[in-house]
Amino acid sequence: MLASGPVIVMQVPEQLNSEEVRNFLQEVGPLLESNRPRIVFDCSQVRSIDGAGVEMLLDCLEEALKRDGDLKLAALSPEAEVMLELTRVARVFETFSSSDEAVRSFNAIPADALAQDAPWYTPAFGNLGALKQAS
Amino acid sequence: MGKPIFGFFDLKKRGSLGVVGAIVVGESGESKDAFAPAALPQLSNQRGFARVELLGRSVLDRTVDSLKAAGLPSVSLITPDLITQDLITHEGRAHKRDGKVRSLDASDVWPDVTQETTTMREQGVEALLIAVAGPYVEFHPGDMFQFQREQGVPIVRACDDSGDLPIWVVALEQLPDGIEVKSYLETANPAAFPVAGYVNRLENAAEVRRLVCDSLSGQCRLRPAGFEVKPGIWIAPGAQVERNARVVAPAFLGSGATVADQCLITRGTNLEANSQVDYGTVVEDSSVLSNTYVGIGLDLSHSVVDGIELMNTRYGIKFNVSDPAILGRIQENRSRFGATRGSIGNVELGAVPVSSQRTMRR
Repeated sequence: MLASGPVIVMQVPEQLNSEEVRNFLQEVGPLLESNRPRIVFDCSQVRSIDGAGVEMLLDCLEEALKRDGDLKLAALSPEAEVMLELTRVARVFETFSSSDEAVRSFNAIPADALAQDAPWYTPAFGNLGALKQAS
Repeated sequence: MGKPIFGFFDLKKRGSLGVVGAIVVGESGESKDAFAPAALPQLSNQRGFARVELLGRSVLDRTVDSLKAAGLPSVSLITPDLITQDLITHEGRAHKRDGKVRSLDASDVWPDVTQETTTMREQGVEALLIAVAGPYVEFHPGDMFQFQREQGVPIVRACDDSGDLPIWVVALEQLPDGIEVKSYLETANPAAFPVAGYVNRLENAAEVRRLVCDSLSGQCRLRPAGFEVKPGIWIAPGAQVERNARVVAPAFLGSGATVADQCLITRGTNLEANSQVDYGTVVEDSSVLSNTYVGIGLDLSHSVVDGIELMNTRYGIKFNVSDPAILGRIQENRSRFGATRGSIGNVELGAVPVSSQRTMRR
C-alpha cells in the first residue's frame, strides 16, 4: 500500500491571469511541497486563462510529479478547455468531468499495482467474510 | 426562371419589370432591430458577420456589388459611418466612386432609408428591393420583382424553409405617404417569396465556418477573392507563406496574410487580410479575421477569431483572450514584426508547399 496524504481539491479562480496566479500560488505552493501531493484543480469557475495561467498549471504539475504526486484537472469550463487545447497543454493533464471523479481516480488501484498472479476472474460470491459478517 | 444567383443577371432584359431600385441597409451591430436574428452575433467592434471580410470581401460588399452587376439602375447602401469606413479600409475601395452607391452617416440608419425611398419614388422608381445586411442569400432579384408584379401585392418578403429573410420588394406607388419604411416593413403583411437558392443566416460563428467551407468546396456561389494557386487553395495578392509552412486544401489566405515557418493551415481555414499566424501554430477548421495575430505554437481549431475575441464552434462559446502572446489585434497595414505592408506585396506562390488533398470536414 502506498503511503500518501488526502486528495486536496482547489478551486481555480475565474480569471487565471498573472495577478491571480500569484495569489493562487501562495495557496497551492505549500501543498505542492508535501510528500506525494495529490491535488485536483476544479476549473469550473474559470472564464479566462492567459499565458501565465497556463505556465502556472504546468509548473504545478511538474512540482507534483517531482514529488511523486500528481495534479489532475476537473470540471473544466468550456473556456478553460478551449484555452488548454489552444495552448497545447490539454493532453498533458488527466482531466475529469467532476472533482469527485478526479478524487476517486487517485484512490483507484493502478493496473500495474495488481499482482501478476492474481486470478483474472471475480469470485462468484465476492468477499465471503464480509458477506457472513453482514448476515 | 434563371439559376438562383444574386447578381450575374441583367435586369435590362426584363422589360416588364418597370423601373426598379435597391437599398442595402447595413445597420450598426448595436441596433436592436426587429429584423435582426435573436442571437445576432456581436463582434467586439459592433460589427455583424455580414460586415467583416470573409474570403476576401464582406457579404455586405458582395451584396452591393452583385446588385450593381445585376443592372439595377439605382442602388443605395445606407450604413453607419463606422461600417462605411470599414468597407473602405478593408476593401481598399470606396463604394461612392461610381456615384450609384451612396453612404450616409448616421447611427440610426432607418430615417435615411425612408428619405432615400422617397427620393427614389420621386425619381420614378416603381419597385424597390430593400435588403438588410445579415444573411448571405443567393437568389435572383429579377424573380422577386417579377413575383411582386405578378401577385399584384404591395409588398413581398423573401423566405426560406427556416423562416423570413430580411429582404423585401416594395411597390412604391402603393407605399402610404409619409410612412416610416421601417414601421411599414414591420406592420405590412407581405406575400412570401420562397428563395430556392443557398441561404446562410450568418447568425453565429458556426454559420460563418459553414459559409467559408461551402464556398471553398463549391457548395455555394460565393467565390474567394484571390487566385486558386492549387486546387482548393486560394491566395490573394500580398499573402506570404514561409517555405516550411504547409497549407492543405481547402484554404484561403487573404491579402497580406502571413504564415510563419512550421505552421499548418488546414481543413477549410481562411486567414483574412493582414492576419498573421506565428511560428509552429496549427490552424484547423478556423477563420482568422482581418488584422488578427495568432501566436506561437498554438493549436487553433473549430474557431473564429477576431483580434482578441475567440468564438469556438464546438462549444458554442465566445470569450476574449487577454494575452497578446496568444491572440492580438494588428494595426492596419502594419505587421506585428514591424514591417509596413503595401496593398500588393510579394506572393511566394512557388514556395507554398501545398497539398491538393481535399480534406474538408463538415
